[in-house]
Amino acid sequence: MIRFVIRRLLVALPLLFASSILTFILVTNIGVPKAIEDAMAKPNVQQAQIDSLERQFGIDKPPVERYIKWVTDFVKGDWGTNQNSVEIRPLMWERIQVTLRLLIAASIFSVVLGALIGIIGAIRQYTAFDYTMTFLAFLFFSIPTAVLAGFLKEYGAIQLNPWLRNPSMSTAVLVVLLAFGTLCGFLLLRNRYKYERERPLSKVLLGAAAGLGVAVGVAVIFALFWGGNTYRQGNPKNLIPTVGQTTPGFEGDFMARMQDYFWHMLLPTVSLVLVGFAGYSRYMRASMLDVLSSDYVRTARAKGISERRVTVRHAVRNALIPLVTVVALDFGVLLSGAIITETIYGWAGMGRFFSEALTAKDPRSLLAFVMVTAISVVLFNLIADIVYAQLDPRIRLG
Amino acid sequence: MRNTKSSKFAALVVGLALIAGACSDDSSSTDTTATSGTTGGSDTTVSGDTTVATDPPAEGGGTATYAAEQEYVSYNNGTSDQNLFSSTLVLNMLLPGAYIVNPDLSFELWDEMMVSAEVTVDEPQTVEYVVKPEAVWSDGDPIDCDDFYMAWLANSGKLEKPNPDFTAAGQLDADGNEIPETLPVFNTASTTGYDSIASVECSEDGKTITTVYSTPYPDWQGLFGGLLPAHIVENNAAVADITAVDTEATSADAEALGDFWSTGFIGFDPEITISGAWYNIDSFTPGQDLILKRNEAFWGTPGKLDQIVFLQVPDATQQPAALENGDVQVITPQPNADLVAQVEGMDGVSFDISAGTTWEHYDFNQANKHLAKPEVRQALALCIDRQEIVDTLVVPINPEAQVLNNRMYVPESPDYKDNSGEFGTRDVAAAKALLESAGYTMGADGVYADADGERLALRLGRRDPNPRRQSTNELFAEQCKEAGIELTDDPAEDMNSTRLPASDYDIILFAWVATPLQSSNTSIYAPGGDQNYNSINIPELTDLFAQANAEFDQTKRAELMNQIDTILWENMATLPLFQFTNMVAYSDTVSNVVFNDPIGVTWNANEWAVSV
Repeated sequence: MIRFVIRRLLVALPLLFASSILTFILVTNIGVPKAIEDAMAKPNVQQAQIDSLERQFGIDKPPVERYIKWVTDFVKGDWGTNQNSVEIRPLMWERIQVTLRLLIAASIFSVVLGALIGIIGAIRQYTAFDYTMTFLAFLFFSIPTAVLAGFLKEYGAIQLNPWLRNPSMSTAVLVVLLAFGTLCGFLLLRNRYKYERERPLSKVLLGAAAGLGVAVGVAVIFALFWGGNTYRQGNPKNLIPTVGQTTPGFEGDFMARMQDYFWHMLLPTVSLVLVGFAGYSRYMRASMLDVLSSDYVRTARAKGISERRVTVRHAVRNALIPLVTVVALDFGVLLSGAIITETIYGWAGMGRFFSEALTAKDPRSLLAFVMVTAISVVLFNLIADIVYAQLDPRIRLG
Repeated sequence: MRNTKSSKFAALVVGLALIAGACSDDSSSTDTTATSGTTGGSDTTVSGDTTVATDPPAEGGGTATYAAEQEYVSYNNGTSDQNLFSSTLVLNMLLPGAYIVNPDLSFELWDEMMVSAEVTVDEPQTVEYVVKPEAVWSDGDPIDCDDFYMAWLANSGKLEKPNPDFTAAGQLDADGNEIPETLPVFNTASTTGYDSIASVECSEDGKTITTVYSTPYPDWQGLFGGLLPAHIVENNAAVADITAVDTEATSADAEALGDFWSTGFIGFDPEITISGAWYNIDSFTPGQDLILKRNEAFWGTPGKLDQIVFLQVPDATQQPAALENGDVQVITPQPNADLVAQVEGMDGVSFDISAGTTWEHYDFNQANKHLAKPEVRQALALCIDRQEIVDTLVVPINPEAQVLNNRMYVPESPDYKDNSGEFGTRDVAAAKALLESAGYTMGADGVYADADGERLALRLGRRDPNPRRQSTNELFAEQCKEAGIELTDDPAEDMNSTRLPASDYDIILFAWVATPLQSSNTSIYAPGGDQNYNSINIPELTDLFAQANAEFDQTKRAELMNQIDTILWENMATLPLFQFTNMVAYSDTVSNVVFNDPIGVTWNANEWAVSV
């Protein structure tokens, strides 16, 4: 395997070179940096100012010379300064941290949620639950992020915040919610699968009610205690913010700061999870269906193993393998950030770094961004291959 | 699939709902009767327990948050590489200056710091500034002649140093520009005005500054704004006294000062980015926010708020949602019909819409065969219906928008005069008559052709993509089709940056930013001017501009500028259209928010007050 890893890394080097050259060509052709355009739009601009800007961006030299200079500086660790004369490498490191904070949480939730929904959808194929989940998955997948974000901001923050200050619920709404919840639980738990052991109706209803009770209890505690607690300084009026990573000038102990991060992360994470879980749930469902109809599962059933053990111990584990590959590849692209989500929610992450660099047409920032993403993708591709080989004994590396 | 009927029906209903939602268009708010509207009643009822430390009192104190689309970059906003408006917004509250620019583009003496500033001698022009004795920087150093001297030395561009990239004369860089032999020691964005000052003299106590000009510069009030602390530059460059530095030849001291001035002020450093006005930078988290806190050392009327926060909200379309949620209290997005409708519908939010100082216009390239003839240019001005363009594109957002009829002044300025004369209204018949008098004959396809048989077909250049400019061009083309002129939209992404300076266009649509500095018009309209891309050649303008640029009486100057404008109307060198629209929306809890196009809405943030 070591030989495999080394071979892959050696192949990666020319690949990275090629992508840097390609990106450089693209970057050279997108036009003049915005700072220069803006300077030229002002009356009375002087050539000295334009010259100085060109020197700053490094575009006063011919392309080949620029590329060579950039490559030699890059591998030495000097990534240059961006359009605001801020050094790129430390800036990028800060942005990566922010992106990871947002995207790791969102990715983990998407994967777990997607996998769960996929598994249950496969077990209960063609039931109301399956159809509903398929529909919701495609619905959220197709909605543009900006629309979803706007919707979440309106109902998850602007309308919800006043309610959270003074939570109350009319009896009618409560009854409707309880009935809806019980119905969902019933649909989820009831006996549908032909190989399942018969379960009496009373137990199903009890299970549904218990699950619902837990959910409602959590929601009530959330609303009453955290909702009423306006710990965030300087803005006593709302709890869930629509923009920003933290409250400006926030001072508080560790717990207060964690809470602050949590509330600021809530809406963007929900945005990303809703859009992200769709893909994973479809993969998982398809993979699970494939496994459930395979020979070894049929053998297991024939040997008398209970349906629950067959599903959990045998089917799920085998169905997860393809998903691992997909997840590893997705994590590779994680570092490029969620451009639209970060811009909409005002998070200073890698996605926004890229969109700002592109708007300003700053060549060095764009190149640095693409190189970092390319390295990340190459690395995670490698990890995906290795993990897949470990999990599936039929696969041999190299 | 089992149970297909019900699920199919459900899918259909949801699908239709989504389509209906996408197709509905409630953007046309043509019933807006007021430009400044307070929407609904305020519902800021505070109930329940609040465990918040800062409860804003009724008078003074509190925090206001402004949604900044781009963030502050550098304390020194006068360098050529960090000359950004986003920094100006923050520095409005930090840096002292002799004059402030009002929203109507007039200058006002900053009487917190200045006792007086006046022209004491006409020939040679001598201006004397007197600074109040109690004016100090936040670290205790007095604001005095040192700071004025440094502003002059840095911005005059006098001192130069050798260019390390220079190899031999005539060498070209990647863009085909000649590599200069020297670079300026102080990397300033503009030397206009400061390069007319011959000397700066300080009084004994440093509080009276006398500036003597080598050539008259009537826009002198625009100088010495945004002063930087000289003692900081002196300390960091290890130079004892900046006023003792040789101004004729570049010394090592000068280079050290220049290096720090050009590069040492980027970002935030509490030792360096000190304050000479109401507020000081407390913290700066790049990409997130910047917090200003009251400057305790300020000698004048303190700002009303305790804290001003600049929260970075990079997407302007998300700023209204943040305003409604209370995350920010003041926003200045680019208005469009949907945004205005959205803000109108919010409770507890007020907004003001006004015409700005950036104005859109068509330029006629007189190097073009057809456009070289004044009759053709005048015909174009007669067949266009500027009122229709304004009504279609601008009035839906700003009901009070009007056609712009002056190149030198905006209607908000008291010197504005409508100089359009006979070209102010549309007259297709007159346009046709003019063309025929210039020797054009109507062709079979409805387009005029000149004596050589060349059709009067011109390109309307504009920057791409820009939906409003595209609509403007389409309207122009349609309107002048009736007069037998064929106009085609000519979009290009590099129109403004490359083709405009290269004069590679027939007619071009772009915008200038009006400033109070009338002398900046010289390079655009005078023969041989640096920014005269249209090859405008009116010999009398050389003389008139020279007169105007030496005239100190503002009334006489306005007369001269209007005279120049009238000549430009007759010559029809360019055709002004309308001003860009600006919008400021703010929560009802904040008062005294007034938009200022030249320097930004934070120009009077010291007067903003927050109520409970």
